Amino acid sequence: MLSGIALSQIVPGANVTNTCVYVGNRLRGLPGAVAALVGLMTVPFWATIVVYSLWDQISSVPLLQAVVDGVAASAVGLNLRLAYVGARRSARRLTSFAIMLATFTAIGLLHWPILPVLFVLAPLSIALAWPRGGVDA
Amino acid sequence: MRENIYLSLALVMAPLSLAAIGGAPSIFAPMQHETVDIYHWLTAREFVEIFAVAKFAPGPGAMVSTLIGYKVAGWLGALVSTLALFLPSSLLCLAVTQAWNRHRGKLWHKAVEDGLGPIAAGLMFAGVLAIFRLAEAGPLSWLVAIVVAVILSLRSKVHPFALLALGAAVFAGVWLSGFQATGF
Repeated sequence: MLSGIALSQIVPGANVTNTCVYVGNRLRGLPGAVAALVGLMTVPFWATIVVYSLWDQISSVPLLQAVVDGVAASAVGLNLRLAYVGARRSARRLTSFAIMLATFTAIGLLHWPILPVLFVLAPLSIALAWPRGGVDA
Repeated sequence: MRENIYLSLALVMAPLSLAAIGGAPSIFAPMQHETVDIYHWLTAREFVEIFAVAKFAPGPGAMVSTLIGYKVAGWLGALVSTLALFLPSSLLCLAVTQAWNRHRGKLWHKAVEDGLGPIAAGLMFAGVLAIFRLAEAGPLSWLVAIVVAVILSLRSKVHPFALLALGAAVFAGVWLSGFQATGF
């Protein structure tokens, strides 16, 4: 389970759905993974749309526009914390810091297409992170 | 035109699915860029609203894709967009799960983990910047975001919902006082 969570964070995608796929697959194989995913996604799917529809009805109230800005700012704060923790943990060496900066620049500032950028940076970063004395990357 | 919109939604979301290293916060920058700047499916304001609602509603943050699909092409759009964002990564996860367990504790586990870490962090910083750019965020937004991040660092047990409410209260308070100051 623990390695399942670790895995879920490495594989792209929402962590909860990845954990869910992992667990479902361990317990019941492919049908288990599918069932777990559908079960996990159905309620949020409807709930999110319902909340948004409600919001649409009342969104013209100016005070609520301020509220949404506040919620968005806080939500960005939550993501900022995630980014900071990730950077503290993983960008300790000069090379990994450079990779982080390159990713930020390519995606955040230059708006380059994300998959080609990752196809270059991910293998490079993994090669740089390869344990010394291990198999040559 | 109408049948193309579903295809376009899928073509925007599916690559993002495979790029979401570290989860949804990693892909907000390209998602914003594609849907607002390139396809003009949403205004900047609408994206910020969707981002806030998705955070507020239950479920993964990636439900932003559901709402974008809904906004652009109704229920079917929501379904297409959600599947396009969740299916590719889930299939990849399934495949990697098999390989991972077959090679338990191998050298490359750690290299992959360490290698993808800084990329995820860079993507998340890009996402933060992208949303603040859209919101034309002023000093108050940055202040709230940084305070929220600091509070969470000091007390990791705080429920995210309380922090969202805090941000909402601060902005509502400032708006109300501004309104009263200029109200006459």
